[in-house]
Amino acid sequence: MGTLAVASQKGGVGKTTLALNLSYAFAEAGLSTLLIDTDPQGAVGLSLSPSVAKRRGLADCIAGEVGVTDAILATKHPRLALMPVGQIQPKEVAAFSRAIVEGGRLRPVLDALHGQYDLFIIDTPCGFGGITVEALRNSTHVVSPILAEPIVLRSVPQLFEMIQSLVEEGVTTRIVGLVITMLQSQDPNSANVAQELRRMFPPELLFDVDIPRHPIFLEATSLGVPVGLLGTPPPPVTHLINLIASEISSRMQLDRTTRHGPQRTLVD
Amino acid sequence: MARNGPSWIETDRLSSLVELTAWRRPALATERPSAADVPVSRFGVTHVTNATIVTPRYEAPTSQAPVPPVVGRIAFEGELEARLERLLKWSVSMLGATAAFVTDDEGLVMAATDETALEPAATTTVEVFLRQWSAYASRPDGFFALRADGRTHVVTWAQHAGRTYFLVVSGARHDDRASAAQLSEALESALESNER
Repeated sequence: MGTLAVASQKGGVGKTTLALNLSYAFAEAGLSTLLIDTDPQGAVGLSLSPSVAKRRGLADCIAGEVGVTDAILATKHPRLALMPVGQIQPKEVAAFSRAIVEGGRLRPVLDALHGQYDLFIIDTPCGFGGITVEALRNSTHVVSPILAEPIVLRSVPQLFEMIQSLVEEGVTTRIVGLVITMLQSQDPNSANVAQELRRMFPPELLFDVDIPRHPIFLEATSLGVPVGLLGTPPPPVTHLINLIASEISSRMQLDRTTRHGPQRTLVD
Repeated sequence: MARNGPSWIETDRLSSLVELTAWRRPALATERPSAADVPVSRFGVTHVTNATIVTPRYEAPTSQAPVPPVVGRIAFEGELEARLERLLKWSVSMLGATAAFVTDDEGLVMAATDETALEPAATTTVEVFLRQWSAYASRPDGFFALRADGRTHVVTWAQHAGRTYFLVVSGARHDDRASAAQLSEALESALESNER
């Protein structure tokens, strides 16, 4: 089992969209997946439905008001569950952050659920504030969406600086990949950023595919679903996300066969 | 070194950060033990012309223990069971693998290392492949590497007395063409030894 944090220094780069769609892709691929929202803004809930946004979750669990399992929301997908961030009043955000950072309250939640899922995916707030750093400390791997715009590219080293500082503390988390998001291949500036990223980083840290800027993501958010649920067959961008999920699964050496039986066959 | 361009990033500094913080593909072993003398097939033909080895993008998890040395000259003598047992030990040693087994073309395991019994997932995956074999196996012998379940399996096959036999080496740390070719020849030699 593994814990994958989705983190980025910049906001608005597609972090929650990536976390949600990767979670669905992993579940579709056979991995029992729990998506945990640690963003006090409740980005996952806001992406899905009011019922999720209003539901109790991580914050209420940390406050001791609900049990860990009561903070989990089952979905219509048998292998995908959510832990919304829960109810946090604006004036409680600082206290929530302190509970996680100073109180170390995230670790016990993950420990309580250990072994019940193949994969935890932690959606983090933007930037490297306390909550994000604590999520990184408790993750085995980190994936970072990189918006294909120059200002985001310039912030990439901060991610590595942050992970380096954690490594120096003895934390074992590693960056498993950088996902280029919202790429506009017809726009020279956007295309240059993607090209620059591929020049700067080893190929195995990037992926064979990038996520394009595509209205289908807005449509999915409007409807409160992962893009994979937007039709049958799913829209083509779903395939890109599946490829990235498959690659991450390989890099993290996640093993689904032990929980879900032998590989299926096409013919006997 | 500061540079102009969309990134403004000191690439040298970034490279060292990547080195420290990023996931990296596990390094493939660059050395393998010297192979033992493998008996040459009866006609001296090298059975590697149909090699379709596929090197996996990511190596399977391996222990850090050193690869055991290759045992001495492999001698395929005695009954078939003893010859196959010898073949398995030699194969596991040569590839730094964790398990190996020999199966016939009906998927029946003829011989296996003890570890194989503990690795049903790996075995199952390979058996899935073997079940499909008859649909596209048109060559009498050869080898390939298969990555499944996070492991690298080197599969070789050879024909003997009108049937096809497979040697599957699981958890291999070496899957280079030369090693796989030697496995292929060794399998054929083990099957044929009593006819020499």
